Amino acid sequence: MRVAIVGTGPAGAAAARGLIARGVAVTLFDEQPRSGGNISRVRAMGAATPLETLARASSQVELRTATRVLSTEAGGRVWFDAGDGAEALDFEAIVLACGAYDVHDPIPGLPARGVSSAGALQALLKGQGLVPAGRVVIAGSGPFLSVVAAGLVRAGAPVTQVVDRLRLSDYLRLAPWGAGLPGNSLEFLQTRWQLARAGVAVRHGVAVTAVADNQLTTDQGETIDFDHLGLTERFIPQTQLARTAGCGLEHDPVGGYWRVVTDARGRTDRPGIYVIGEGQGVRGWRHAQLSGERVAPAVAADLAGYPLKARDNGLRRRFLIGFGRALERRQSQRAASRPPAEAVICPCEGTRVGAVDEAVALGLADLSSIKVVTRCGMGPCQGRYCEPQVTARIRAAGATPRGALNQRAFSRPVRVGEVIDETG
Amino acid sequence: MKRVDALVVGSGIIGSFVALALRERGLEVMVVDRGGLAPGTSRSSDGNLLCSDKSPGLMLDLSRRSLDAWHRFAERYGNDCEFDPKGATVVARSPAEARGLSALVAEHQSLGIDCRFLESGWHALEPHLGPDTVAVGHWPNDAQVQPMLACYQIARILREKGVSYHFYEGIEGLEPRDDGVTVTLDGGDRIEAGHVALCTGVWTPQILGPLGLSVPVQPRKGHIAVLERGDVVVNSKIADFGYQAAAESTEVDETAVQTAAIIEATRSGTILCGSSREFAGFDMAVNMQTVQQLLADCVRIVPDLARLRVIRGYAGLRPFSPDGHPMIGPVPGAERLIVATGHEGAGHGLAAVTGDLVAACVADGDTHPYDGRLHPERFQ
Repeated sequence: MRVAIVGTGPAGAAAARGLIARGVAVTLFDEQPRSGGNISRVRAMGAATPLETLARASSQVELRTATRVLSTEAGGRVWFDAGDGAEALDFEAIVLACGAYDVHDPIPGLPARGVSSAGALQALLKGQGLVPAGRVVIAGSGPFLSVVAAGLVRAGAPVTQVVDRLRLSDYLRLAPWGAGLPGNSLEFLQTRWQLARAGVAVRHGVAVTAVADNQLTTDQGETIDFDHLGLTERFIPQTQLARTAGCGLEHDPVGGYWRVVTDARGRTDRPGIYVIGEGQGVRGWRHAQLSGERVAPAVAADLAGYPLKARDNGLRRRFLIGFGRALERRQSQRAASRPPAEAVICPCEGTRVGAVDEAVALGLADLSSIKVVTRCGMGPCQGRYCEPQVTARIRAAGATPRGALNQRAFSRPVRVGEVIDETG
Repeated sequence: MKRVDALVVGSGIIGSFVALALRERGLEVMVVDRGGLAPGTSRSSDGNLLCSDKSPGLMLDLSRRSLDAWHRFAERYGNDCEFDPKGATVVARSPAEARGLSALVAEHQSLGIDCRFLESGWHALEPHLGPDTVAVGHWPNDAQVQPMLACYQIARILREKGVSYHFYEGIEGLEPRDDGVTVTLDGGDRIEAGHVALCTGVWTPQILGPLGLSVPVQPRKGHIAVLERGDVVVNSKIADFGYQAAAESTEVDETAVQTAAIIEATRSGTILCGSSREFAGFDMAVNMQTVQQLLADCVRIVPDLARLRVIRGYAGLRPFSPDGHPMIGPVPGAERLIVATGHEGAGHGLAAVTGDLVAACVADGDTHPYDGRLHPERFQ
């Protein structure tokens, strides 16, 4: 009996520990060369991660890093590619702990040289020790900007400014939640202290309205020069694999994304498929870890066929969800009301906001229809970037979004020669 | 209660052309679809407009007429749907296949279809054909269209012509009479229609069932794999010689999965790889083994495809007709209900002529074109 866990961040690691404690063997998949996810990303030569130590000590834990999961099936089959072709393994259950990714909104001038997401700058720093040279500006919305900027400052990067759409008053309104989450609050205050000491200006209530190569314009009419711009407005749950398994999704109007429908333990509407962490809605790594702890007894009980009797103290979970939603609510209130028609909404295909608005005006309100007539979401990223943006356009027209992009097979590209090798 | 001359159910390629043809005849038309735009078979289709995969007969006659109608469409309304007479290349990989292909080309030539048989020199047409190619047939006028853009173009044309589209509205009830049909949508709206055109493909029996009516269409599943843009040039539609036999087969074997290679590039540079045929009910899930099998078929024809990456795979349901011919005409027992389904894998090729035939049926009472060989009553 073996359970697959996709993702080795806080959620996947907690689920693994919980399952082996209950005598259930696990195989963990991660596309990165080292386990840990985005939060605990380590360098290739760094010391062993907790999961790596665990996998070495226990035959119950198999760790398959540098392995991309291509699709999952409700029967328990996992298709993956470790670099030498598509392979499949069958499991008793699949736990998806795929995390979230950060995006910016459509802004005129993008894509442009020197611009990436703030999360990408953080990943390069954590994973490869790459410190950007030249002026670094971190912009967008939310406390993540300060976290990334502080990390870059500690590594010696010349961060010149943090430009945060959220106002100071927004942070004050989040303070009551912060009081109940001392860990989060302390972390945030530390980053701000580090930025202040390094002389990095953190500007609140300022939004980026246009970007050119090496220069951005704000809604205050000023221009700021940069060599690297890390731009992050919000986080989107990574739900592609849950879609390949046919899990039901629901649109979260506050977060502006599609999340997987689960019960309080992470069970989806597909038997044997569980989704934990950010896939349930973006609530941060503490919630992700807790959801991993909470899914383990449920998986063990479901496999053994008995009802789960474990005491369910869901208070901390509800509190973490409440905080995540409160932050998203502030962010959505401050978000740009309408991107200009000429802004690129799908960088892969070059589709502009206006083309999407035309399809919406015809009465279309489901992502798949809009994709097939505008090409939005057909590119290599498969809608990871534009799906939430298109959803926002549907909502802006006063319609209800009626269905996420369907994602049936090949959640990531794989070479034809590798696919057909499997047929022998 | 809203009144229209004709209510078209389904916004796929058949419904789109039917609505357009009816509107061009001056009728007041409304289109409803239970999903978004063309949410059914058109959405999973590669948009073949082919003569090269048809034996002489009714299907070939319809295809030629329809291809002419597609050209007229593009001339009149512009080409916003990547309609492209790029030609088709059929590949024979054994002397026996080459003899069969040569015979097909000769038959088509005798009917006045522009095509030729080549035993050498095909690399000028398709530089990436594999080393076991023995001969090719080339049909320069066969065409391709991007199905969804075609439906979208027609939807925008019809909007301008005052036709309303109602998306996300299914059919709750149909009450056919001798002089019209009362339609109830699942949102509760009622519509009084002179005629109802059911352009609902494999789902037609589900709509007719509650009335005690039926047409013998059934879903025949197919898969397509999409390859990323790359350096493998595919100029025309490239099909294995065996593709024609697969497309024309009318044998219903519930257990077999037939695959036959067909390869084409899209305007955006991606390459579509097909095809598979199987009877699996309404299951639309992608079967990875079938995808592997059809990709292996395609790589046998164009070996260089092996170095490209697959970015998508999807399945769709062809409306299969027991005798291989579409069903176009009044439903036996309800003369004001017109069906247009059963086009199997040729729906895009035949959509333009289907629009004309349904419009002639509704506006002129021409219910039995082609000696009744398309009329659904032939199965009774």
